[in-house]
Amino acid sequence: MGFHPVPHHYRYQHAPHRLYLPTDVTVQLMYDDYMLAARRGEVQPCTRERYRQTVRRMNIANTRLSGEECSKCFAHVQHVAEAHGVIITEPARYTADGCACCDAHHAHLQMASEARRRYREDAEREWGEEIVATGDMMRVTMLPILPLKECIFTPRLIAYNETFAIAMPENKDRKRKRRTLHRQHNCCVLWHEGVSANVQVKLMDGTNMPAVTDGISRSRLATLSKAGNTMSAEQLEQYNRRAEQAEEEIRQLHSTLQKLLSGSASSNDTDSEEVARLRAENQKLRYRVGILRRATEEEQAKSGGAHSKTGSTAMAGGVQCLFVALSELFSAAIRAAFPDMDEVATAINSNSRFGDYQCNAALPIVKRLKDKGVKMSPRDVAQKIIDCVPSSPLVERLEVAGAGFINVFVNKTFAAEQLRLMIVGGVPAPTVPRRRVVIDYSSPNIAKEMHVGHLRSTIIGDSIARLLDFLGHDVLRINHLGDWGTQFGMLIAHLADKFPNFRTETPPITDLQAFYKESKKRFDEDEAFKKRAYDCVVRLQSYEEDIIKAWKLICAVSEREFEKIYERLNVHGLVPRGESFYQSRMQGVVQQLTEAGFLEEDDGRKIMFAPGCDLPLTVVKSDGGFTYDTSDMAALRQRIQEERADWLIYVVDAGQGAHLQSVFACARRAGWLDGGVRCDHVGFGVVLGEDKKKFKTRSGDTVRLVDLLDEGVRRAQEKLREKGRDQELTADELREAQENVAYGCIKYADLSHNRNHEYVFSFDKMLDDRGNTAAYLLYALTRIRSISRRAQVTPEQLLEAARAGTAIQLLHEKEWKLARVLLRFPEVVVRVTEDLFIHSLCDYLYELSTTFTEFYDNCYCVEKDRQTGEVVNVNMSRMLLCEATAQVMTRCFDILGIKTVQKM
Amino acid sequence: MKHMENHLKQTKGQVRTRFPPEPNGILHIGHAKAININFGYAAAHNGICFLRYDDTNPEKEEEKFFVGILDMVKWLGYTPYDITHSSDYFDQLYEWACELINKGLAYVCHQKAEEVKGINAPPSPWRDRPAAESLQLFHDMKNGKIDEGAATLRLKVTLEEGKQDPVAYRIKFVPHHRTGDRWCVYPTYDYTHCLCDSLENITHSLCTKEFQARRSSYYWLCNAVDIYCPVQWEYGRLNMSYAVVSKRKIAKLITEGLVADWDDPRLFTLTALRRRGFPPQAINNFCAKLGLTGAQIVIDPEMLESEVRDVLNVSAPRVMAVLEPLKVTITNLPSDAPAQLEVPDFPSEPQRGAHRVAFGSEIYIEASDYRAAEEKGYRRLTPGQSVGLRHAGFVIQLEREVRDASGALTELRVTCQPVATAAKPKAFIHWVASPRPCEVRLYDRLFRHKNPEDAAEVPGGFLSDVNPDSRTVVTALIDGGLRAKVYDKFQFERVGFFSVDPDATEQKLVFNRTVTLKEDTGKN
Repeated sequence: MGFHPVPHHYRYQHAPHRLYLPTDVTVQLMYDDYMLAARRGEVQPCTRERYRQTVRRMNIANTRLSGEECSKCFAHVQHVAEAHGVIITEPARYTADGCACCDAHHAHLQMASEARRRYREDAEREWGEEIVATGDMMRVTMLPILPLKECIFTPRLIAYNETFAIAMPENKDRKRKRRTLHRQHNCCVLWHEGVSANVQVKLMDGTNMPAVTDGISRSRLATLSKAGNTMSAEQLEQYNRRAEQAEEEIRQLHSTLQKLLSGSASSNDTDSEEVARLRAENQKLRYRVGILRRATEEEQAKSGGAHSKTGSTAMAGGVQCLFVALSELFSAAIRAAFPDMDEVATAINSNSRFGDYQCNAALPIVKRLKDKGVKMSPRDVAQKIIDCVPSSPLVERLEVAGAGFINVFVNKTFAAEQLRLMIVGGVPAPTVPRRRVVIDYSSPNIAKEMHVGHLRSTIIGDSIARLLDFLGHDVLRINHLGDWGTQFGMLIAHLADKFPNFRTETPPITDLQAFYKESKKRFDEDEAFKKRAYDCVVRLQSYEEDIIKAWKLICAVSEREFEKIYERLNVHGLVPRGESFYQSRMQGVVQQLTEAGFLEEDDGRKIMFAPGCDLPLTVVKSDGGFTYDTSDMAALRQRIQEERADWLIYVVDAGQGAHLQSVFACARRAGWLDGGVRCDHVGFGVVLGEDKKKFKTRSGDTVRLVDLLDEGVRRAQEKLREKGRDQELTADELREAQENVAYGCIKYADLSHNRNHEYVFSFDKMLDDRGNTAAYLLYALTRIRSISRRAQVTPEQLLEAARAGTAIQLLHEKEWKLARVLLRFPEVVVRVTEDLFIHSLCDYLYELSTTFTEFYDNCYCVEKDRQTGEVVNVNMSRMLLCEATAQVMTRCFDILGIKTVQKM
Repeated sequence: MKHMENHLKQTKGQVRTRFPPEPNGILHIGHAKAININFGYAAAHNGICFLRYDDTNPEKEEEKFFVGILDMVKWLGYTPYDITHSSDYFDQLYEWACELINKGLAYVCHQKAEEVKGINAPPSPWRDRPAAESLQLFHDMKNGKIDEGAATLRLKVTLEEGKQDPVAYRIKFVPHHRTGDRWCVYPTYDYTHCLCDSLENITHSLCTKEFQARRSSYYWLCNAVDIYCPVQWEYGRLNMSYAVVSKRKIAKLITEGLVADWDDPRLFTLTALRRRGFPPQAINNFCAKLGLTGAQIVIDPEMLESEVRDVLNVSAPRVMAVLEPLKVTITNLPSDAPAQLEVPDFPSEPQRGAHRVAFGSEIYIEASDYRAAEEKGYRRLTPGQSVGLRHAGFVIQLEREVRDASGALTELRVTCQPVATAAKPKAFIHWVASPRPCEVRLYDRLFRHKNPEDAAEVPGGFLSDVNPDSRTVVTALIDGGLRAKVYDKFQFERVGFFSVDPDATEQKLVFNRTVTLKEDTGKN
């Protein structure tokens, strides 16, 4: 027993005759003392019994005090005695109403009991290999023998009561054993009631951890062998202060830790000045970007306005895209309300059941705030956004609904004026930056007939090209014909045999398909012919004049055939540019890629990899020849470098997706796409027959497009006759109707499906005059047009009325609904240019048509005398709504490439 | 003249004033004067007064200041005719700035802030640049094309003290509380103030003396823009001794932990005064007594406190509370002694109501109302001297002291006699029976010196002058039946005036000492 206990007097009741240990004893101190004694040979095994005897002999205070060993409890007992006049022995049991001191102590006790609970948990837990010492600090008194279980304290821990304990495994060679243990198991878990009972301190520092314990039964006490100094009341006070300080530090560390864990170390005082400065600067720069962006937009709007004055019809003066305008409003509002936040999507939604539009930005903002440690309810966020929305003529009112949605109600006067402008200036195209677009579609093979597979590319590509035209882009339509394959050898050889004087006389080939079959037959059966055919290929590729002439002849015949179909399908402006066109350019491409070191040798081939795609392109075959990959790369480069395109669109079936992605990736790697060139693969699924299998004729052949179109016209005619239309329409009108309906229906059936999906080709469905079909929509349009005819209002009169400022009344619910759909047109168009899904435009057209029907069923436009049939009253406002609808529908059909009919 | 006619047509000769605080801080006692002068002047002349937030500096504005200012104006009992913001006029102000440029009266300048500081700043080399150039640059400033600090718009006018060409607009890439991200150029006080006054048809633009130097620019600008020009009148600023009112300095006190918050009752912000229990009426009376003079005055807080006493004396009901309790047991209390007594709220005016307090054999008195040793001139309880219990109708006489082991006095045991039969005591003391404890916060001056900011008086700076004992907290006993809500004010008999602090809860009342009963605290 080293650390001589000494009498103390600071305790008011227990002081006399008792000995206490000094309070500044630490385990390190004890250990050092022990080592000193060991060196002097004074060390004796310290058993529990020996320890007990010593304590008894020396009259060391062993009384298990009632808790006043905790200075807070001690103070509390005093407080209760003084303030409330009650002497208590158990500090837990006295609380007085309204006494802050007692309340605080109550909280203290709760913490202590929680600490004890956790201590028990730890003590009872299986710790496995780890030897863990736990101690209940609340119960550790001046001498460790008493209620102590397995305890460890290190000098690093500032213990509340300055208590300590050390327990060692029973082993003669303690030093060695201790070392091993210490190396292996240097872990302890402590629950300290002063740490709000919720911080687990895991001490892993071996150097400061002189001992561990493996259980009470074998525990032994280290020597306590040093003269202690007396402890005065001041010291006690000092220790209490120190302990409080330590507690405060722990609390701070804890909260910092919490912050770090929650991932938001933002703007707290731990930031260095540098960080704070940079953060402020960043905020200012971000703000400046906002200002500049808006100034730029204003400039653009101004110059845009100037355009429309000079007669451009692209965007009628003053008509706005509500969606864009609202997005800008809300984006400004969000920036103002939450200036610290990075750009947040405004999440404007036009399919709101509650308002005209809805802004759903609040929830993501709440989440971001939460990440930053700021708590704010979605409704509050929504309200804050609303408060910051700049005033705008288009907004009638805003309201917070549900869990923080912002319902937007559009100003009807504003909407009515927009519609009026639409009638005066034509359906507006939203202003978008003008681009040079090269769109590649249709792409049949020369000498083969177009089949149903080419239909989709042609229809979808044409519609997208029309849409881009409408938006004011500079569009080049390319028909990437397959005109340079080995099949040309046999075709030319056959041509030379059959029409030897083809150089001077154009051979009368009408059925190229049959011609192809003939040559194919000879190629398969006649070895000599086969040889000649190969010879022709070589001569073609060396551009031999005669052979080229023959090739051109064949191509011309083929193209004439195609042109007939394009004419029927109302497809115009396709520039034929076959693979042959790129032959000379492929060499250049290979050279450039080789020089830049992009090509890799692979089994004699030269291939090119690009980041982001697994399939390499085979640029040069092992025999030195080129592949489709090569010609596609050459075509892409030509379109960018020679055509100056900054947007390439390939309307090619979905099966080519991986190939095109490789081409795009390699082009990107080659640097051709630098400067913001947009590349889109507009893929599409296959056309299925009504049996849900690949569309074939009954005999199993591919369906010829010509036959399909003929069939369509026949079916349409049947349908019209069924309805007795042949009685009402003139022969010309009937022919126009049946053709337009037939082709329109075929196109619409294709376009109205999500192009990524396969679709079932069914004449019955597409010609049905109910549902989302061209037949229905074309008919709906003729009906709308007939309204004004029946009211005896001429289109000129309507235009004049709109020009004169006739207000469009949007009082009836259905009028308003129709107006809202009409005003959504620009937003739908913009969305289509983003994803190039034409079916959303079809959906819109159908929605518009059904909404119109609702309107027309509910709102009288023309009043007629029942007897005489004379027009009594014309509601001009509604006539204008009809006109606006007709205009928007016509515009949609125009974009879809569907010809409308006057009568059907 | 046409502007005057127009102005008269719109105002019909009515007096229109405004209180234009910058919403970047908490109002203090000095503002109370401004509020009283502006609102009071308008009220006295049957006119109207606007509350205009002069929110032209977005960097320092916060929502809480907007709310706080209105709250304080209302607390003082005034209702603004309308609440406006300088930022409401940003568009108009910008338009006028463009006009001034076109008239050649303003120009865009690229001198740095440091260059134009001080009295003899060099004249701007850009003073005579063409108007078109300035206009373009001003647009560029507005559109965010120019760096912060790289350009300002300056007015071509020289101020009284010789300062040339004050700045009208500066660039700040900071969002504004109200205009959001619309602007990155913000007008200055010099430019905004008079134009807003004019826009609101203010008749009397009342401001403190410091702004006398800006008077000529005020008139110049209104005339340059060619609009109605209000008349500016200056009055003396109110300064309070033993006080610090600057925002920055109060913030420093808070961060140093010397005071708790902006409304720490030792401060002279209006929220602090409210918390301390000053009735708004007393503050208004005080301002009224100061009058509308041009002289700058320094007032001792005692003057304000005496107004507070005058108001509370007639408005705060009296209750008994013991700040330093000493237990007293009456050993012979007659069994028929009342358990409850009726005590008037205002003893001099009993008709104003009464409340009931408990009474019994166990009561508490102030420890200072008993002395173990006889002392000449001490009129209260001693072993040989009896004392009367206020309102109770009894006189008590010491029987014996009870002391604990350490010798500390813990209790007095006394006998009682009805007042009627007992010898007339020299004094009556207050007491409580069946009390509930409550927290009482006693405040003293925060600073030891009259001018804590004066380096001559306090060389160590105002922080060193803080009186560490300016706040003491005691646990007092108050009648158990007392019910009070936040800001209720009481006179604790013989002790002082107290107000319920917002920290008070249902379980625990907290009182702030508003003022002592008399200037000289501590009666013996």
